[in-house]
Amino acid sequence: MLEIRDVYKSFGKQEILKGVSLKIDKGDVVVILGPSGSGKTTLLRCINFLERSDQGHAVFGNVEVNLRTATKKQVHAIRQKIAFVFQNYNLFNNKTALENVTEGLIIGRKVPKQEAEKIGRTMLDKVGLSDKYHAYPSQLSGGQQQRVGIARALALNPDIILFDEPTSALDPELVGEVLTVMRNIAKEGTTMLVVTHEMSFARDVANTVIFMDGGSIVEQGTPKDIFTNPKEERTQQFLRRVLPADYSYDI
Amino acid sequence: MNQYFDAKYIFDSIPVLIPFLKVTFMVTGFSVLFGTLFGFLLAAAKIGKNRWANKMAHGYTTMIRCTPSIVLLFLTYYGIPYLFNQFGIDLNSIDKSVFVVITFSLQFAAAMSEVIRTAYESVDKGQYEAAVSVGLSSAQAYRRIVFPQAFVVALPNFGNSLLALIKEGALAYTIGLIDVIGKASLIISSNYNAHALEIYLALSLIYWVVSIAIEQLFSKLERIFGKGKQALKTV
Amino acid sequence: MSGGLDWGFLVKTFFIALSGAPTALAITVVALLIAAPLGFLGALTRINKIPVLHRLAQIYVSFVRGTPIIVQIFIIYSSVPILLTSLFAKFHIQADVYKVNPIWYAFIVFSLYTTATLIEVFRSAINTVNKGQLEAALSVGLTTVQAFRRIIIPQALVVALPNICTATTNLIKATSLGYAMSLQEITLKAKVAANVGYNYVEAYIDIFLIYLIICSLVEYGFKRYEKYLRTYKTVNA
Repeated sequence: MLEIRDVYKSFGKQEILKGVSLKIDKGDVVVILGPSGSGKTTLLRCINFLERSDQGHAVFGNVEVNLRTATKKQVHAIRQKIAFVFQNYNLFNNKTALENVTEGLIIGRKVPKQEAEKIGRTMLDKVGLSDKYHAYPSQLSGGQQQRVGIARALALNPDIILFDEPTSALDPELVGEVLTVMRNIAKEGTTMLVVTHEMSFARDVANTVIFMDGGSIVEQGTPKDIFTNPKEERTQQFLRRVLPADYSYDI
Repeated sequence: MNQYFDAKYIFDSIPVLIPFLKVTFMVTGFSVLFGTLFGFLLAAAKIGKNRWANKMAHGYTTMIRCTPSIVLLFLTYYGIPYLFNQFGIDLNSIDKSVFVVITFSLQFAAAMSEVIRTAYESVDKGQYEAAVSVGLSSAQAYRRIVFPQAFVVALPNFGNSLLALIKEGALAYTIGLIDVIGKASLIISSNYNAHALEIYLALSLIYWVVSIAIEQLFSKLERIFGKGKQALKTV
Repeated sequence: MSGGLDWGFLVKTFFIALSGAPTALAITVVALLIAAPLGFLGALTRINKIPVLHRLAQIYVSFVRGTPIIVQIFIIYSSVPILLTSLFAKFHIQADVYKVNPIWYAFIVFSLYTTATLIEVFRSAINTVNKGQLEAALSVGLTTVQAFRRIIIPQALVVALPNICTATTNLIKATSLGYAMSLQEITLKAKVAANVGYNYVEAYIDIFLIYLIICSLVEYGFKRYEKYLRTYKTVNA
């Protein structure tokens, strides 16, 4: 459903992405792992045109766009199909939780206000925030804010949701509530591309795990392949560092 | 010269002076209008990527910041007619208030360009990114998400600049504008300089009240517009 | 005033105006020296909510910040002679109050003005220093005075410096209003020189240049000092 081909991106002299290609089918949950600075976040941002790639293509359904030269119209069309969940939530500070969720529907998609609010409430209910419709972001905890962020993405009924380290800005005790929401929507068949450091999520939820390092994909496969039987030296090293010694892959 | 102090003069002069606030407010109003428009242009130049525009805008701001209002006032008052004179255009019949408005527009623009720039930069880039990621166009993202937040940040600084403008505007009397201060000097000279102190005290009371009123107005506006922000205090 | 600028006059008057700079700077320095301790004390009364005094400080700041400085100058310039005359009469002092050098009035006006500014600058700066800093200092056995001198003030100073810089440049600019007290500073000197041949444009260009130079130097100096303090601060952090 979404295919990315040969994405390159540099910031100044620093090459961040050195030709990354990947393919995601409908209903897939793809998790990207890798040390910080490996280009995971930049890849996600390039897919959503938050950064302009130096080179690369995206194939969406049967439409192909050049990631470097895409027109405003193409960018807008792609963004209509992709939703994004940010590391630091980026909730609109001047809008309530419900307004955050409906903003894209009402303004971006011209959905009538009443209908948009109905969708908004459903989505906030889904992430367990039925009592926070009218709270402003500053009144919510980090975990609650990120759940609004996920509801905002879900409300757009996107073909795919990109998650950029959705739990890494959260206090440890708040990570659980966000992961639970993510597990639930994965179960419902939402297509997800997730950059995260949460190994348990990758192990339990993903159908594909991608290991990135130094701006390219080192290895990819099922969670079982990657966690129990990594082929590449760099993957093994990384896993040894991030996984507890007694961590085993049970199925 | 009979130099005794009589508070009666304070209260007698206040009602005479107050109608002349109209002139003060009018000059202030036009300066705010033109100054804000020019300030937007300067801020755009500072935020934008053009290096020359950037340097010019910053240079302009530094220059104005370093110039006392009275010097700027006389520079425009004498300098602009002089420049036009070089091209054979006579500006001597132009109303003095025009030069006052030009001076304080130039000054207010420099202040506003900083107010606007800092307000714009205070809004996290993620707000814009989140807005386009949910499908808003770039213009919509600015209008609905970035600007409303920047506006709240700018509000108190705008209020401070406005207060400074009103106070600096007091110097307009030096080129002969008859605003509150101009009127006060007229009263004093018609009294042969007697009871000047009382008139000046009356003047200071008028300005003080105006300043406090504006301060109150802006803190009220802040409360009204600071929706997302306001919650911070209640948590 | 037709024809080009009188360059000879422009250059000559530049130096005449420049000869007023020491007066302007002297007033600035004196006002800052008087206002700094007063401003600090005022800030402390505000922060610690000392009864009566903190109200007085608040009203004082509100008045000085709510009225044009030219009006403050008028008030001082017309009230001090009245006060002095009655004082002199009471104590039978033989002196003519109208022969006092205007620089004394300038010292009074600008010190009072700067005190109000600095009260607010110091207040907000001290407030930014975390309360834990004071508590930590007290917990290791410092007295309150020591804690302020060694821990709070050095940190607050870094925060306050940009605002002190603004206050200083504003003060230098405000001395241009000394003309209202017949003070022989930059603006008045150049204006008097211009009166002879109506070379006002040239005179104001000169004045403009001198303030530009002085303020740029002051801002540069403050930036250097701030940079120095910041490194010092991070090294110690």
